[in-house]
Amino acid sequence: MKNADVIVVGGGVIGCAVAYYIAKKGIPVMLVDEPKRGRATSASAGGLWPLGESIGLGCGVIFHKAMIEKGLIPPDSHVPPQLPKTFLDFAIQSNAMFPSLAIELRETSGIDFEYEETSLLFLMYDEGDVAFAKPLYANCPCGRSRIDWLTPNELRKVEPAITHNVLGALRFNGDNQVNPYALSDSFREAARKLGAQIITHTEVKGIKVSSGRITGVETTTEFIGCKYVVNAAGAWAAQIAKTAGIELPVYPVRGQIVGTEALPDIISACISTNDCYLAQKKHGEIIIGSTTEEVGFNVGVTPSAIKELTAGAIRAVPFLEWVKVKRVWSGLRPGTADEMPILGSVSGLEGYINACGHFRTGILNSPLTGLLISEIINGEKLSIPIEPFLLSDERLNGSITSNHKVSVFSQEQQTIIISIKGMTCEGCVTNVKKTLNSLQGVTKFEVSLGDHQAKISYNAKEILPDTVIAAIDELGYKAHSPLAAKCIGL
Amino acid sequence: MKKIKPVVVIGAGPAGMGAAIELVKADVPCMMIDEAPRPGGQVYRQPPTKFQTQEKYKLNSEQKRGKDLYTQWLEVKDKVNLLSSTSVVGIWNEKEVIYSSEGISGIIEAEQIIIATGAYERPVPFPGWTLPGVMTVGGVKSFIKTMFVKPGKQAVIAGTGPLLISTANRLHEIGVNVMAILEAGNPPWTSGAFSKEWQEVDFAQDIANDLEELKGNNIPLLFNHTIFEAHGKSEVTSVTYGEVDAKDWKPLNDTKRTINADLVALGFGFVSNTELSMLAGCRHDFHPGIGWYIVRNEMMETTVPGIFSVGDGALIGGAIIAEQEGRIAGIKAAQNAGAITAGDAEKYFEKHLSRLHSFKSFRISINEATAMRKGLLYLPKVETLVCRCEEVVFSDVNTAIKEGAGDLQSVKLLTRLGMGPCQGRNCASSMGMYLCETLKKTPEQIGRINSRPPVKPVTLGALAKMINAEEELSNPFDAITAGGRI
Ligand SMILES: Cc1cc2nc3c(=O)[nH]c(=O)nc-3n(C[C@H](O)[C@H](O)[C@H](O)COP(=O)(O)OP(=O)(O)OC[C@H]3O[C@@H](n4cnc5c(N)ncnc54)[C@H](O)[C@@H]3O)c2cc1C
Ligand SMILES: Cc1cc2nc3c(=O)[nH]c(=O)nc-3n(C[C@H](O)[C@H](O)[C@H](O)COP(=O)(O)OP(=O)(O)OC[C@H]3O[C@@H](n4cnc5c(N)ncnc54)[C@H](O)[C@@H]3O)c2cc1C
Repeated sequence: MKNADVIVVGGGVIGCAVAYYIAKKGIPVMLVDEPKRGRATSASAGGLWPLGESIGLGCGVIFHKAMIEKGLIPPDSHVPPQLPKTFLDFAIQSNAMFPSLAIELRETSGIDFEYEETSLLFLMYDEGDVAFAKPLYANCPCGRSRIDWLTPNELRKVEPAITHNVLGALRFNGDNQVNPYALSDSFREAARKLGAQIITHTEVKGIKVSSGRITGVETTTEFIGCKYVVNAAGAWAAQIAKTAGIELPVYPVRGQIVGTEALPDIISACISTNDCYLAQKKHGEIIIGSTTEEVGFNVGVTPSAIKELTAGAIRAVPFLEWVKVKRVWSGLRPGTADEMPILGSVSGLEGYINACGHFRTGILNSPLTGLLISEIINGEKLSIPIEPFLLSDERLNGSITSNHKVSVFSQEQQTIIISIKGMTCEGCVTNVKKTLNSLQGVTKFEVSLGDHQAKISYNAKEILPDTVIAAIDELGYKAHSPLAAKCIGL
Repeated sequence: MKKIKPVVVIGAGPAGMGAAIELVKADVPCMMIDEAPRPGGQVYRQPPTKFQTQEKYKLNSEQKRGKDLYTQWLEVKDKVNLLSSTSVVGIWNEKEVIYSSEGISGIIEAEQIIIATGAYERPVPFPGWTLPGVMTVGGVKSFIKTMFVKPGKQAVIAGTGPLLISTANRLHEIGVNVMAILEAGNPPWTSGAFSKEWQEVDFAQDIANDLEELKGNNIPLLFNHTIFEAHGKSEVTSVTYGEVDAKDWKPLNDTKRTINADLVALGFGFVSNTELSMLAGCRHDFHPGIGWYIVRNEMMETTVPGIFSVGDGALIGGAIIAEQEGRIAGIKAAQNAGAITAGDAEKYFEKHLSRLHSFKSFRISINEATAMRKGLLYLPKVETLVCRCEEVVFSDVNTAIKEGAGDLQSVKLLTRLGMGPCQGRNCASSMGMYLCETLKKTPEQIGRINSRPPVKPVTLGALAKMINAEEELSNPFDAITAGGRI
């Protein structure tokens, strides 16, 4: 029978980083991975954007603009919202690990993960973008030294390929990039060299528990005993946790990406606009991302998203119009409502450790996550306080979500549009109306049969959109609002 | 007002033409898309008009046979909405066909789709296979058909199947010195001994004629021989070849010889173009003698209702089979659309079904005879390119296997094999087989390289100008909830 001290479930960048740091401490560790379609690491763009992501650039700003255009959030809301300071601290500390990590992993694994010191540029196309950028520039959470305001001329000098139709750009220094597959490969290879056992193409079916302790995991082929299980199963983490009786608020959030053919050096910085972001990788291809969608485990791509991403890319770098698309694909981010990873132990189950929910920033936050988990297992002093990232009751039942929401929407009174599939007649409409009427906190509503949707006003302190959706679902219809599940959590 | 959605036929070869003819006959709106500038597919494509007047251009026997089809096509063609020089780059949301042409792209919402995208020639990697001067037999043939210049002076032809022989004769006709035909197999038909079923097939006669001609041309035909290596700096200048064992076609290295040649024509059989049917979510299964094939019912319908797959794109069979399949799909689609009754459809099917039936064993034997055999996997050396697009060499694949890659998809992630614009066409069939052999796994376990849109080259500019994508956006939720099936 196989045995290890620690079993890491999931071999994405997080699982590989965890295995590496544990192996580095000389602790017997085994990584078990089943490659699922849509696993995030192989779909990712590989941006290390601690500042950018913390203040809502990258995917955040694209998502925000899309929501405004669709009338799902008021146009005057000063978002995309910023993530808490604890997140930024974590991201900055993880980011700072990369330069030495690049050397360390190259030596141990022989793989170069293509660490590139660049910067992130936020392009300002119009007055709205300027209005968004000004407070960021004035009150940047980590001081002026990391941020520059570039005039159109200055921008043209550093990035000649970028459109001249801009009012300027904000530059975030220290927001770099890597090759995400190479990063996770190098973690995995280094872990293997340090003695970790790597088992690929093997699915973990469940975690075995006996009197409040982990005893091992059941794979498709066998039982493997262990003292600790680290759940690094990405978007699938909730499924694994469930087998140990743990509810985990992690869900798949799809992101679509367009990749170009290999090109000579065209852009040196990573670029973020409110249509898309772009990064040119070592092989020369430019990666253009990305959408934020909740469509379960569906890993398709949609024409509309591709049209928007390609148009956005051409707007930023006009030359791209004549460049060929090599591939479009999508990946599933391990999403959490508050966009923060879920790390560390849980009360009541000894030996179980979370390393999941990394949402948009798993590449960036992989080294510190790996280090932290290894310190927990080794009983050391932790490199950064873990409390904000633990699976607390508040995070589980979403009250953190609602706290954050207050910062997104300044008022308690909110309006949301919920799409409802399956309403076929006025009788259905009456049913839905009756239910809405019975919900405490719902103040006003219109239900439209023709548009398959309901516009609902509610008091954010009294009820969550999720509750409204659940109530409609219970009637047998399919209710959905991307805003409810995701945006309020920002 | 409800828009009438057309039946979209992808590919204007014999299969697609057969389908379009039946659809027009039944008055069903039909849209046809082909990336080539003129319809006809691989065999019946007419050369540009300026060549047609030239005396040198004569109908070959396939084209003569296709004349009936072509005549019928000319009668209906004005009723077909034909988009030429237009590639289908993807199929989304079941029935949305995305096409691209000269800097624009668009979406067609299809009522039903008939995929008739034909096949490509199976690439087999060996040292020097990417040198200029190394071509496929199909490439050589279309070169002769359209260019009227000699592709080389001294040629070696290698591979398997009857196409090698006709290619040798065509090259000989235009004055190329064909040194040898290296036939990896030793199939009975090359001796002129045809099984009974084969004799029902018109091509048996072609093969017999070609063999006769070959004798007259004094071109040596070597059985159980193949090419081992093509040499040259900037282009091929010589070729090493030798014997292979009869069972697996494993090269017997002590038999190798080298001769000068500036043209190598390769024909190792065909592989169906299944990218689009994969994108559409149609089920594919593996058959040992045939390889991956699309699962269809007798009416050519795939596992996705309303999506048909016909011709060489579904299973290699040649032009006549392709036409019958296309017609059957066209009739069935017309019946699905309510344009003809089930009873009428039944009547129309009959002729084509019985014709198909008589070809059945021929089709199986042609697939089995030209299937890739595992001995050829001994040809590449460590430094031989196996993926041309991403410049992956053979040893990279072996390293990936050592690192634990257990299927094509993980080899792809580790090495970039198949990540290039050809979507694995050049590497997937040989490397898939290599993985099966090395890891002792089944093709199902090894899997395939998933096809990803766009399946054909398209610019960002074309996609950014996609026509009709807004419609989808008019419902704010669709962009968020509509998931493509890949
Ligand atoms: C389009 C896109 C762009 C992105 N861009 C960036 C970026 O620029 N910068 C950044 O920092 N982050 C980015 N991200 C986010 C980042 O990719 C993720 O946060 C990160 O990859 C998560 O890593 P993971 O290891 O948790 O998950 P994954 O990479 O999904 O790995 C989880 C692994 O667990 C396996 N698994 C699941 N269930 C089981 C089971 N039962 N048994 C065994 N194995 C199992 C899966 O198959 C998978 O291999 C992006 C994500 C997407 C989708
Ligand atoms: C290179 C080659 C040489 C051949 N030589 C001979 C020969 O000499 N004698 C003989 O009897 N048979 C020959 N064959 C076989 C014969 O051509 C085929 O059996 C027959 O043409 C099959 O018909 P089809 O309609 O299935 O496919 P095809 O005739 O191949 O037609 C497929 C059509 O689909 C189009 N297409 C494919 N993908 C797309 C896309 N994504 N978007 C838009 N259009 C697309 C192509 O442009 C093509 O016109 C040859 C085949 C090939 C591939």
